[in-house]
Amino acid sequence: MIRRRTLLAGIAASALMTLPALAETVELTVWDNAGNPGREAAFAAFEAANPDIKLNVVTFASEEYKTQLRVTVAGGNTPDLFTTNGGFTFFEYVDRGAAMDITDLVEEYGWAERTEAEFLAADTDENGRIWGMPWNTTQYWQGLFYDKDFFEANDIPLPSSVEGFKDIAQKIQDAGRYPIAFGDKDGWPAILMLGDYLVQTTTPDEIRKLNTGENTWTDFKPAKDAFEAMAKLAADGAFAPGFLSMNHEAAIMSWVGKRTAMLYNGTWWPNVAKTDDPGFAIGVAKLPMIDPDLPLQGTQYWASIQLLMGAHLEGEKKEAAIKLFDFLTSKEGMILYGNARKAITTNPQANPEITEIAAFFREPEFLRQNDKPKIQFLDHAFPIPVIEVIKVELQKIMQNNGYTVDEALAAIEAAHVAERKS
Amino acid sequence: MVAEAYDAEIAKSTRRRGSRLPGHGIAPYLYMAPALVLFGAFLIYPVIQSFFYSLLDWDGLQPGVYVGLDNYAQLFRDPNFWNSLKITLIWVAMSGGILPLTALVLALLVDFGTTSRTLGGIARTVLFIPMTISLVAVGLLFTLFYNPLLGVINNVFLQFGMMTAIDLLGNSSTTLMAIFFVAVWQWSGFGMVIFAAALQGIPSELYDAAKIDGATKWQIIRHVVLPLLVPTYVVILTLNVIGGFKAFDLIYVMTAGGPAQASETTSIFLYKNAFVLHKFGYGSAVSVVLFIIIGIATVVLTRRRFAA
Repeated sequence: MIRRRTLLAGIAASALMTLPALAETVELTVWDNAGNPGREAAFAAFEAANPDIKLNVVTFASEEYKTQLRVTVAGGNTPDLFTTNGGFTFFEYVDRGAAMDITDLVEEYGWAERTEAEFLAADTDENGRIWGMPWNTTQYWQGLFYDKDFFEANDIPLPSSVEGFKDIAQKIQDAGRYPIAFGDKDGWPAILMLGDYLVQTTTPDEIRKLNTGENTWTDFKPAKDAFEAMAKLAADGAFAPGFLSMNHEAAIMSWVGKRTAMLYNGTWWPNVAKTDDPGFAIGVAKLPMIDPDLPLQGTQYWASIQLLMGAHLEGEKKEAAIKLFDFLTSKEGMILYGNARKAITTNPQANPEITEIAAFFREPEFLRQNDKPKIQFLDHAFPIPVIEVIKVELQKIMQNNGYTVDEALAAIEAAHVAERKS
Repeated sequence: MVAEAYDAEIAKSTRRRGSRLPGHGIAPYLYMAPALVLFGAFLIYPVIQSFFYSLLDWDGLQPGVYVGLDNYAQLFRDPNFWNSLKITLIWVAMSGGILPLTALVLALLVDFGTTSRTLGGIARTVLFIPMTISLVAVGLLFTLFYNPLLGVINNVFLQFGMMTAIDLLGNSSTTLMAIFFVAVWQWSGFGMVIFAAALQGIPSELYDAAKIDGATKWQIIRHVVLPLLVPTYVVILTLNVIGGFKAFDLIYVMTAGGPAQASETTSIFLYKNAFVLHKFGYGSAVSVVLFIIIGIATVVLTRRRFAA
């Protein structure tokens, strides 16, 4: 009898000790791209400061993440917080009713001060409602990382134009390497390069007119110029073998491994290489220009990742999610993020206090883009069905097997016509 | 006597199609019920549901709009669908034509190449091991092997000065063959094991009789073994053809259907429409068409199997 009482007392005591803890802990499910040390640092700092909130962070690698997020939202299991690219992709989740309207919160918490006005405007719909905030670090394009030691040792000039790249490609190959590491297996790197070539000769406003039909792919000369530039680079041997079958991560590794002389940039390459010192001096060159005398007309918007809260949130969970959102976009959270990524962030309050910025972010070839008119990364600037067609058509023209740029543009226009109607 | 009576009763009840098992009431059906429920819930119901979805214009989240057979009409006009079907049929032809043959050759080599049972067992195990590895892992591994800059294959060629870097996966004309080679590497062991089991089921008297008649090893294979393996061959052919129609994972991991749709099978086309473009109604129409094609192929091959 005594033993039974003792046992019951023990169980009751355990329950009393455990239940309050369970009741007070709020668990938030957060979905994000994998392998970002900046965000991992921010999540860890938040959990340490808020023991009553547990984060269940679900991550997938780049392309897999996009698919998995779509599937989980389509299945009615929207995460409490999640990240997505901006532009059409962002508003896809808004239109599906998956995102929380944060307009009042932006006002209440002063979140507008934590980013540039143009970045916030990109997350605002036509009714003036705000649905998310940018949450990332600099991701410049329009450049090529290169091995300075290799170029100097072999006395090879830096490329300046698409037209003159063939000779340089030959010199690089004669010196024992392939020219540009570029991995288009997933399709998006070539679209970003297309975006770079479009803004070399036209403004973001003109590119956006492709969505309304004011410009059409078949009659828009900058589009033809951009496609032809990429086809010519491919034909002239600018890209290392395997560029259509390897992904961007493999391309980065082939550059770090000195198999190529240059890398079509992905400013996050140190994350992939697990080092920011590949054993050679790094330079940043311009992506070869269609017209070297023409200044850039725009740049692809680098605040590409947006942070959203789920529309389903309520009660304690909503409060906890707002607390997390507030921390992640705050000056404190962004300093952690920026230092871990060695890059400046979307929060201008944090940037002066980020001490670890990598030298290559200070290169003039990148900085020349900062004051240019901006457009979303091109793989989010058009509806997804159009993007999927562009991916295929770019690969067709870069294979150089007789498929023409005009055929490619006609196919893209046909897809875009259908989307404009819908 | 009792056994004969039982056999007669069984034979009689088998002839009376549709009647209950004699003397058992509904008990056998109750035993089968759990399996039937699971079969219905996880196979029949999704198939019916897919057909229903294929009649909708549905993005997966908002309520679908009934569009009748529009998705099918659009599908049969879609050049990307026909391209994917062409690639699927090529893959099926390779799966049906090559995989059973490689499996058969391996089984014969193992069975006739050594008299040591231990060595034969080791060989069978080694050849079967690729089957136990995850398809995704195999895909990633061979993607790296094939990589023209970082891969082993090209580096070996380059070491011997045989050729410059070749991009087997990035070339539209070679990508499908390059992926299929991986399928051969992985799947031949599966067929080999089935053939090996069939080989061991051939009565030794037949070998002895052939030897007494003066048959050589090749003549034994040609006139005794191969005819007896025909039913097994048809089974493996059927499995490979059905698997070929559903080809997805290995190809998706290695090329995601690229470059420029050169390896986009119908399953990948279906996946992209449903999960990338959010055309769940259209994707369901693709799945229904694929289901019908696989159904026809299965019926044809199954009949041949029974004939064999």
